[in-house]
Amino acid sequence: MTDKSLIVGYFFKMKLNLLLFSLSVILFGSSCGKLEYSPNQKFDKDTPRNLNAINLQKLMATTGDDTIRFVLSGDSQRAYDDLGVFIDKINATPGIDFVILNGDISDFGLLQEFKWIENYYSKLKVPYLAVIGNHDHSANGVYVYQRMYRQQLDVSVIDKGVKFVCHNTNSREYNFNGTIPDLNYLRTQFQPEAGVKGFFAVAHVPPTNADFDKKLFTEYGKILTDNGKVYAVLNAHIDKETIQYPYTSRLPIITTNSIYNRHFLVVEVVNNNFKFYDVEF
Amino acid sequence: MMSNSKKGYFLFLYVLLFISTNVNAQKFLIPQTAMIQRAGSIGYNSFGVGYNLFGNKKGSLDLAWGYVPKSKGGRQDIFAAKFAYRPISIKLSDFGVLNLANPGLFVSHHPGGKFHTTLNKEQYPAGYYWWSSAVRFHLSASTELKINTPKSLAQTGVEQVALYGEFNTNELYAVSWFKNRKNLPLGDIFKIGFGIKAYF
Repeated sequence: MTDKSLIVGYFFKMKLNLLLFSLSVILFGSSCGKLEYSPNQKFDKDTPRNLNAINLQKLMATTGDDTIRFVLSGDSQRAYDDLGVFIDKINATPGIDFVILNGDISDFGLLQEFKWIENYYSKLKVPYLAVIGNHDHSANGVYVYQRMYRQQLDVSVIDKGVKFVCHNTNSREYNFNGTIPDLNYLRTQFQPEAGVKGFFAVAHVPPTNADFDKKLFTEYGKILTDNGKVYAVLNAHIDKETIQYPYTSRLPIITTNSIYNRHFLVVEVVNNNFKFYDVEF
Repeated sequence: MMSNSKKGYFLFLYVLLFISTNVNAQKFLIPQTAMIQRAGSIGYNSFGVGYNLFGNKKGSLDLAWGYVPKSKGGRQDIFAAKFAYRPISIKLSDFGVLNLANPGLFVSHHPGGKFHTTLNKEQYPAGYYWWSSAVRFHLSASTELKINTPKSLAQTGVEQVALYGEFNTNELYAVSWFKNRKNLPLGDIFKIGFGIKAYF
């Protein structure tokens, strides 16, 4: 036996051993709150709930001018080094009403990713709304989203007379079964409505993309164009800023670049005129 | 032609037959350890049996089943195969052995329809998602204190009882961290578990 092990052994003979070890186990467990049951667990004791409803209440509680000005951001997945700058940039921009996080919140659908992203977006001075993306359908991502943001994946919001119809267009994740996007939901939501001067369709996958159910492409466009007051369809997913007119010249399909590429769009409606511009940060 | 599942059953039957007739094979298969673990990314609780490798209990292979109850973010079953290596053994007199820093790796499998090992080829183009949502690959580091069983309990067959704590990360957390090293603290991707292990 070596001297070293004799000395160590001496200390442990003093019956401190078990005490010390159990102490370190307790420290280990409680100090960091990092006990993980599974990367695929749907929530843990710190997970926030119903954030879309909470943020919506905040939005309704704020009074401001008649101008609607909001940020369209998307594809926040795995962009943790960029999100701090993004949040600072938006917090320093005056006149923003709210921020849309337009899908692909996470890359792998893992709770830990949703929590990391939420940790950044919760530092915004204005409310934000999260829309589900295709990557958020991986693993238990849909359950994580439903608990953290909203049970229903489609949600409509009216702010200052403009209606935002946020909906799930991640058709490939449902193997193009004809139910996504939910056209019945969209038909009811895009009915003319008293007090609503215009509409935005907000969804992750653009209708022109291969991940959108092409069986539903025409009818989807018809619902939007029949309404006559849709300013634009706002999408993300393809990691670049584009504008297309696949239906009519009055219905732009706009995609925002990703947070990872350090871009977002600012969208405004002033006197019923719609405009948008890209911001690099 | 025999289907793959039929072939599998035949192989399984053959292995069973081999074990039932071969005493050495039986000896080889009897687990040398048993463990119960809390957290550590393989379940709220997990239970496993294991084998010592490389002599002197330096290496180990544990096969575990774990679960996350609905109230803790499940319901989820998890199967795991854990390998660990114990390069440093500090003998604590008659009390036991401390394995200070034990690197390891383990694989966890998450059964269930929400998880894929390979993508449905009719649904997705090749390489659409590069990872498998059902299988995670973990790196781990543990500390283990093996306590010698008092002589009065020798007839239980338990030679040592070990307490251990373990950090782990998985390949998806590691990839997330690697591209965001400026702002994502390394500690954020390491998760903790602890357990108790009996050496027979």
